[in-house]
Amino acid sequence: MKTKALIALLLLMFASACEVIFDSDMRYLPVRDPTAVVLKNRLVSYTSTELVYETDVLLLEIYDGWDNTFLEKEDFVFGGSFKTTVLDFQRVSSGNTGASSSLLLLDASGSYKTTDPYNARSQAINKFFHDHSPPEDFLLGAFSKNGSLTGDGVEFYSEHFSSDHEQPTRYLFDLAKRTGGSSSLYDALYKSIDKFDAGNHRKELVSLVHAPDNASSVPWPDVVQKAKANGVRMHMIGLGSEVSLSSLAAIAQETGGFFAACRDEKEMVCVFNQLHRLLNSNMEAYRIRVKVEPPAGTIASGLEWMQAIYITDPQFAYEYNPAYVYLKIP
Amino acid sequence: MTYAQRSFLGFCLLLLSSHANAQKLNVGITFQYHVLKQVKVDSDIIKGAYSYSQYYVKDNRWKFFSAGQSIVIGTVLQLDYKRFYATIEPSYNLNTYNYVVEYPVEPDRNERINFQPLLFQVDVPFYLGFQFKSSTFVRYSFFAGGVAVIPYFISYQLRSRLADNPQYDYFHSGDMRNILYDTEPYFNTLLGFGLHFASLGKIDLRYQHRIGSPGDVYAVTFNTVGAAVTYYLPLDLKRKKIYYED
Repeated sequence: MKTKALIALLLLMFASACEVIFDSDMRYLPVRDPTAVVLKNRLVSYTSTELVYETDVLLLEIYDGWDNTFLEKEDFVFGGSFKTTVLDFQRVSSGNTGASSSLLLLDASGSYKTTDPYNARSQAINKFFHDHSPPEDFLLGAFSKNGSLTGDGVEFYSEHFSSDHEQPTRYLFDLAKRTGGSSSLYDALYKSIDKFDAGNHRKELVSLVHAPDNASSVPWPDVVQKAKANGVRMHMIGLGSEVSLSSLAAIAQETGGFFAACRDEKEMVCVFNQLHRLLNSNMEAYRIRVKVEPPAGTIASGLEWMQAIYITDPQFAYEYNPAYVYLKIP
Repeated sequence: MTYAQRSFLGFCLLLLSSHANAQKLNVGITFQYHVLKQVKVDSDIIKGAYSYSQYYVKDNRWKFFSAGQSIVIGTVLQLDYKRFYATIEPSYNLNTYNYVVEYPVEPDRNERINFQPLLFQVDVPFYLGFQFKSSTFVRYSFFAGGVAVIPYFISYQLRSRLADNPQYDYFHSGDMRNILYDTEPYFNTLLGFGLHFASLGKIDLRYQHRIGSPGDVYAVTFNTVGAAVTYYLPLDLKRKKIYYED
């Protein structure tokens, strides 16, 4: 009797062990916030007293594949002390087709202690590489002068583009141990254009920048000229408050790329989370036609026009990062 | 069927078949505490299972307490035959690991991340022992065998020195899945030395080594040393019963 009771007790123990253990293949990124990205701007018309332009603004949600398309024009507030009128407000689909070749340039200058204290960028970039599948390919590079990188201001992981996302992982994470020196963004962009060749697909160059360029010998207009001549689109992701917004916005605008001015690493991670889609797929953006009336005499040929758009999602009381519109008056 | 599974099955059959010849069947309870552990990942980096992180392997040492602990409570079935004994110990095990890795942040600083999985598991140690000096009250023995381990619930967390633990915003606590643990049953080898106190009980020191690794990406070694206290219930289930008639 006692033996039977003991066996029953053992069976009870094993029965209680038959609990299903949750399993999942999902991968997570560091915490991120919704982020505004300026896809493109277009000058519609101008006189000496007014300027009409059109801008496409994309609002990325924190989950890959989701855009915020529920805002109204009242949720977009335009910066500047002059009169601004929204002439038209609509939602548009914007996107790219065909395979791309992406070159990612990572700012390895200075220190990320304040802008990305836990090195979320390496995880976010790694995710971007994981999103690739052949025939898409990518190449990783980093830039800084008088720091720990080899080469003259820019260093590449490999000589050739590749679709293998496992290969550059070690190099990518080790870059966090090699930050220092001064930013040489324009030199790096200029040289990086040469990495593309006729064998590449659609040429996309993405830069993560967190410091002002104070070590380059090439001016940014030369970079733009060379990029245009080679059919390279340059996308700019600014991180923190020290970046030169106007030059980043200008390079992106002039070469057909997007510009995201991320206030912190959470917004930067959000952009990288959806970067592959940004470069290779469709997005739902807002197209806003705006008339601005600055003081007479302000608008003249050669003027570089910058205007911030402040966006709020009233449902969640969330303020997006400012979207910066850049235009150059011909 | 693996070698360990065959061994376990063979042991159970041996236990059943030897029941008739055994001199005594002891039933008892056991309490074990394992505090000396080593977790050794045979790689210099670990790629996170649930994230896009990559960690540096920095600490594969044996550790006292700080590599994790195991608390085991179970039952004991022991068959004695002359100086030999065969034991099976179906037990519950509350098993924890602390495994510290580093994550690159700045040239002069890595972030230390302490992964702390907690596993509820059923352990079934099975082993054969040989007793020395069987005629005295205190005897000692050596034993060897294996442990069938069936994890059935896993909890995992990051442990930080900071109360608000900002690491949760940047790292995933489940990143050591299929590296430090998985959901599959497995086997340990078992080696021990025991001190027996007549039929009252025994204390022993036991070493366990996991056979194989969780997952198939990294070769991971698990070694554990712990102590066990066993108390035999005052029953002799093999004793013959004699009925008298008036």
